[in-house]
Parts: sequence; structure tokens; C-alpha cells
Amino acid sequence: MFYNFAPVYRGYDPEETDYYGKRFLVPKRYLSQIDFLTPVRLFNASTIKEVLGEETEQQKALQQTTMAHNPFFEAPTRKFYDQDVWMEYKDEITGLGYTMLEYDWMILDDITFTIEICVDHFAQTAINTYMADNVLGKPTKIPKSVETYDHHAKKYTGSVEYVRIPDHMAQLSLVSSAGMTIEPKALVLAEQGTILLQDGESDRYGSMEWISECDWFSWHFKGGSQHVTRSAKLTNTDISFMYHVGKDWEQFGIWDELEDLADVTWKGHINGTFTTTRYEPKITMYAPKEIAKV
Amino acid sequence: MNLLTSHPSTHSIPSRFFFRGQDGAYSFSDTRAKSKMSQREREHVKKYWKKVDGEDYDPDCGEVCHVLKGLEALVANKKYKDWLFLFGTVIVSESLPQEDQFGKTSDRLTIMWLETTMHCFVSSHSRHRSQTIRLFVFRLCVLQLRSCLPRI
Repeated sequence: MFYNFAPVYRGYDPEETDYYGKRFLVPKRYLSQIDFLTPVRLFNASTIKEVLGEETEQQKALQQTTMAHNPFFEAPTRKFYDQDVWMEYKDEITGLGYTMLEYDWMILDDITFTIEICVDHFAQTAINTYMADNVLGKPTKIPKSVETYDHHAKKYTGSVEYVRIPDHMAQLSLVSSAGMTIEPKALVLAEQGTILLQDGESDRYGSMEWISECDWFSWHFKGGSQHVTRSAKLTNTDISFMYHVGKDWEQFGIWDELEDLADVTWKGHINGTFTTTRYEPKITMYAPKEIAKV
Repeated sequence: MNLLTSHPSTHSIPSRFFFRGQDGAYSFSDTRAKSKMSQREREHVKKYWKKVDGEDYDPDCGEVCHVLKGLEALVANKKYKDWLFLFGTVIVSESLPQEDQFGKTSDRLTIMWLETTMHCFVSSHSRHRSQTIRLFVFRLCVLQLRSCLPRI
């Protein structure tokens, strides 16, 4: 059994408040092709031959690469992570002070967020939740972090209450990805809402192109890191969305000293988990931007 | 890693697969993290548990527990009170028990078997399923049937 989730935290001052309503877990819903990669030297094609039958594109591609994608991704079966098991752990998770984002929506500091993990964004989990919830008469409740002042303890105490998904959609959308770019049809942003996508496979800065597909021109985003604000246009003759790609950004490497092989502060900590020689992890910092007002 | 500096909140988003361990996924039952921690790190975590959670350090805290406790300790800081962190993703594996305390096949395996049977049913009625898949699922059913029936 595999679990794939994003830990999300709101920072806080322990002297002023507690951690309740500030810890979240976002389970990944859909299985990606690059989940469960296997080095080609360890990949045994005969183990999947009976399931997949004829040689697949994946198997053909193996001859030109060093890493095999998840071969069962091509099998015509369910491609979900097990959600039932998360439900079994829900009480335990809550007891540890964590709130599970089952629908990829939450409200924090009165800001409406969506958080999607990679292919979940492509599968439109956040916007599909919004649409399905509307169709069903809005029964869905999402967590909202609230704080109240405890005069006895002389500090704030956090808690979570459950509310409906706001009609205005999300003011901020976050996507943690590896090879996934922003999908215009998956955006569920309020007017002037912003989406941030971090692509672990590319350190390029995101851009957009006006491309024809099936004789129809539309905007397509290109990875890696992307920072896009959307606004809507509605007139008698034109119904469209406009996108503004943030361009004020800067990247910083995290090694303290590039030539210092004994750089224990970063290299020492991630050695064995990530390469410390081929790619230096980088931080992308964007210029300040107003959060959409609703 | 990705940062947006935006008043009043700042967001940090490391990429997907940020925490997946040396074997591709952490294990819930793996406690190797303890032995890999330096004395300084261990003291830091112990101090954090007491200060923030009000609990004594749990010696059975495994790899995932350490990842989460470490992140909890990181964000419990005055200088991050206007930050939101999305720490990429964590991948964890868990071995499911095949027998319950009475020596019987667990409900989970039985449910898996039932699901597999459903797959059998669905696949045999689908035009798009290949013969090999049907055969495989059928064999899986038979294998699970063998393991389940004597105990049900």
C-alpha cells in the first residue's frame, strides 16, 4: 500500500498561538506515469507482460532511456491512490493536529486556496469539485482555519470549522508538480486570482504560447515554474479569460559554497536522497503581488 | 523550491517527490531515521516535542514521523508566522497484514478479493479488455480464492 501526500503548514509564533488549524495533509488522488519509477537495470519486463500484453510505447521507450515509468499506468484499470485508507486514518490524523484536504480546497486567513498535486491538476480535481458541488446543491464542506483569543491563556487558539466552497472560487491556487504545467481548463481562480506551480523537473521559468490545436487557437502554458494571474472578460461578443504571466522573479542556488564538498548544511542533509553533484536545488522568488480581493 | 513574497503571506512550494526516502518511499514501519540522526538533531527534536506538543520524545518515531515532526518544528517560529509552506510530497509504503489476530484472512484482503472478482466480472464484459488481462485477473481471483476460502 502506498501513500502519496503533501504536507502543508502555516507558520506561527508558539508564544502567540498553537498549531491547531495550521497543519494540513493533501492526499494525491490520481496515479502519475512517473510515480514508481524503476531504473532500467532493475526493470523486469516479463512481470508485466501478462497484464499489458503486446509491447507498449513505454516498453519501446525503455531502449532509449535509463528509467522506466510505471508500466501499469498503461493498463486499462483504475489509476487512483486508495482513498478509503485515508478515511481509516482520518481520526488519527485529526488527533495529531492535521486536517485532511479531501477536496483540495481550504480557507486560511480568510483566503480561499486550492492545492493540487501534479496530475491531480491535470485531472481538474479542484474545479471538478467546485462544479460537481454546485450541481449537487452545495453539500460539500471544506476546512476553514479560525483563531479565537483565549483570555484565560492570554493567547490565540486555533481550530477548524467546515464551510461551503465560496462562490467566488480560489484567490490562490498552488500546484506542486514534476513535469506538469498549468492547464487553463483546470483553473478555478477568482477574478485576479493567482496560481503558482513549482515544477521539480525544470528550472526554466514558465511562459505561454498561442497555439493552434484542431484548428482552434488557445493559450498553452509551458513549464517549469509558473506564476499566472487570471482575469475574466465578458461582453456581448467576447467571453474569455486573460492571463498574466508574472515575470519578476529570481532564482537562488541553495549551496552555501559551491566548491565546498563538505557543505553539511544542505548537501549533507540531502545526500543519499537527491544528487548533490548534478543539479543544485534552487529557490525561485517572485516579486510581491496583491492577493485577489473578493 | 519556489517562493512568492506577497503581503501578508509568503508561500513556499518545494517540488513534488521532495520527501521519498532512499528506497523511493519511506516505510511506516521503518525506524532507521533514529540511527541516522546526529546527536544535535536528536536533541533538537526532543526539545521541540516538549515545547510545542507538550509530550516526551517518542523513541518509536519512524521516518515519516521524523519528517513531519521536523517540518512542524521548522514552521513553529515567529519569523514564519506569515508563511504558508507546501512541502512538496511525501511517499510512504505500508505492508498490510494478511491475517488478523484470530489467524483469519483480514477483511482488507477479503475486500481486495471481492474487488478483484468485480474486476473479473467487469473485464469479462468489456470489449476493450484484452484476453491476457482477463486471464491474469482470473488467475489472481483463483489464487486469492485459494488463500481465502479455507479461512472464511
